[in-house]
Amino acid sequence: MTHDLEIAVSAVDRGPGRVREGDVVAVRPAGAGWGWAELKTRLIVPATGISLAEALALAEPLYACGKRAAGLAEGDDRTIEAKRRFRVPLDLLFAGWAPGVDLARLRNPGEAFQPLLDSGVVVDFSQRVAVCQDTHLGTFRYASRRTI
Amino acid sequence: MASSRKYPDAFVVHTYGGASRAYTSLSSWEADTDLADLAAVTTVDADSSGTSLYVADTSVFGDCEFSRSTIMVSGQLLTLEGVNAGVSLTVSAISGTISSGAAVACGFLLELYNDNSPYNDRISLSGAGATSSYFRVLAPASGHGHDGTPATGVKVDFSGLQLNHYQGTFELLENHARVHDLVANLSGQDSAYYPGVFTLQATGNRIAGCLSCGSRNAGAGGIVGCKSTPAMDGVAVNCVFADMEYGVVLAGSGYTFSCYDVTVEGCSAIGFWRASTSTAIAKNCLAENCAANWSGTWLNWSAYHNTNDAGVTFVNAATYDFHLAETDTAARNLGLNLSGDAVFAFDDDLDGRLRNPAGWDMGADEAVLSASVADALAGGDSPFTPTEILVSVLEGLGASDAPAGAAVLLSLVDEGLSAGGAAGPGARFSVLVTEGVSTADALAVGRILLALAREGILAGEVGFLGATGLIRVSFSPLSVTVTLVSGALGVDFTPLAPGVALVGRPEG
Repeated sequence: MTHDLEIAVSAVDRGPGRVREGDVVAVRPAGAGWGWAELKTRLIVPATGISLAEALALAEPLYACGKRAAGLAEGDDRTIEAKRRFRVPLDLLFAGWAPGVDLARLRNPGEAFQPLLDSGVVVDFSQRVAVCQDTHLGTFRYASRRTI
Repeated sequence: MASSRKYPDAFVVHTYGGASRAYTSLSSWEADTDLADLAAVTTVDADSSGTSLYVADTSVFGDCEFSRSTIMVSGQLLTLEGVNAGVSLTVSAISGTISSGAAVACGFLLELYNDNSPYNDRISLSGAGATSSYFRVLAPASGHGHDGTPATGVKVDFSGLQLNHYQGTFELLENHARVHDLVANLSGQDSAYYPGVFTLQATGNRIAGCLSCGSRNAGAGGIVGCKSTPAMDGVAVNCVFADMEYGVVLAGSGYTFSCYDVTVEGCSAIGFWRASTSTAIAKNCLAENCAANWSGTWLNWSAYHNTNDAGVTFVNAATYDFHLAETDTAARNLGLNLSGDAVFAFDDDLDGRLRNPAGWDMGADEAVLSASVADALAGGDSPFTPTEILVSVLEGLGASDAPAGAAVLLSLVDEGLSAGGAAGPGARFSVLVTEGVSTADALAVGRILLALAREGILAGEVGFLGATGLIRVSFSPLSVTVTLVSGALGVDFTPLAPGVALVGRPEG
């Protein structure tokens, strides 16, 4: 399966208020390439079944007012409570798409370990078996837990 | 001297561009450098001396540009030379011993390379615990900046997502965040929103030397070049916004925002819009050919030397070249000298060149008259008493290379060109490092000056400054460039020896 986009998910966790493990950090077209520093601290998720606009919107912060960025209005509390609103829980992602991945390797910032990209795994968001959690609502978007 | 481009007192450098760089995504860099306290990014965890600095956390330094990144520890500015992961940093020589527990401070600079620009990207800087000394800044890498027009240099042009009123290509949401010398646009917008290309929302945000031309919103809303929503004490300086719906918009209330030497041209709605109860300040700003050039009350608008369709002549507005034409009479030499401004003092322009303190131009560009060797030599034998020598080192490093810049200055002083020395009593000797200077460059400059000294071209003999004229001198490995900035030459040129080029050239 080919993929259209690559979604960079944080493999590091800097604690509350900072980037957390699983945060959707960035989105780029498939094959556009990533910097060498990014490959050490991000899990690149080859993705299909999701539009660029949908994917880019996953990288928005969590505002105190609880609204999505597109719905912000004058008077809303735009204080950023979390760096990202949407998170891909890595354990669930791998449980669904690539069981057996060594999460310790992924979390090691000294290694550019890309288990999905390197093994050709493409996460199809249209199948709703990818895992992306709205940390504000606690719900999953494009997602249901799947074991294969 | 006070450049409009200010950098942190110490800063770690990362690179951005194609896949050969550390980062290809602005938000990836943002996430990696979003630290709670930039004045204490980590601490020294064992007494350190020599070239090893033992710190509690080395991870933030692992992917930086060594030899060009610096940190501040116990008042010492140290250059990073390497990382022993999890243990220590290899640094330039530590003076004495730095005790355990000392805080390590640094800002962060992302250097953008024009590998395959324009980049479809955007960034929202938020959360880092910045101070006025340690903050995050984005700027082009040396040699990758624009030439004052948006067709050159690193360009970030975001599209792919409809942005709201509070979003932008560059969103500065944390205090003191800055952007220097980037070309940016916002494309594909078809909405009722008014996003900004540069959106400033926190205290002390600055954009300097930035350009945005030709962004449009196909919907009922508009694109804003620079939007404050709000940014307390924010400043836009030496910027150009053209051919969009709005140039500068101040939304929100209860804050002060200043526009200094900003050029806005051809906006289909409003050039400068105070859409709020904020304190809006514009000094030396040009607003030309907008549907409405100004809207709302701007503090002391007339006294602060701004234009409202004054008929300013640009080099070529159709191609977004908003340098002032040599024939212009509506902006040249008509600005306030802001080098001593109480809020934001600076003395350079869109191109990073020194402004003429005696004939400050309005708008982003400081026009520079051309001079040739013949012109110079035709200046006659007027006696001169140099009082100021301005040397622009055009090759080399960015402002990030402050230590190298210092080395350049030292090498100049070593050649006897210090104030009160060869330049004569009362002289002021200054060096402007406009971009890149490495240690090697510093040595090269030293050698150049040594050669000049051998040729008898010391400052006092060349007479860089006449009684009524200001001449800019720049050195490169192969030539010396002399440009008349203003006034007349009153100089007695000693004939040059073969092998030393003295050339004049027009500057934009």
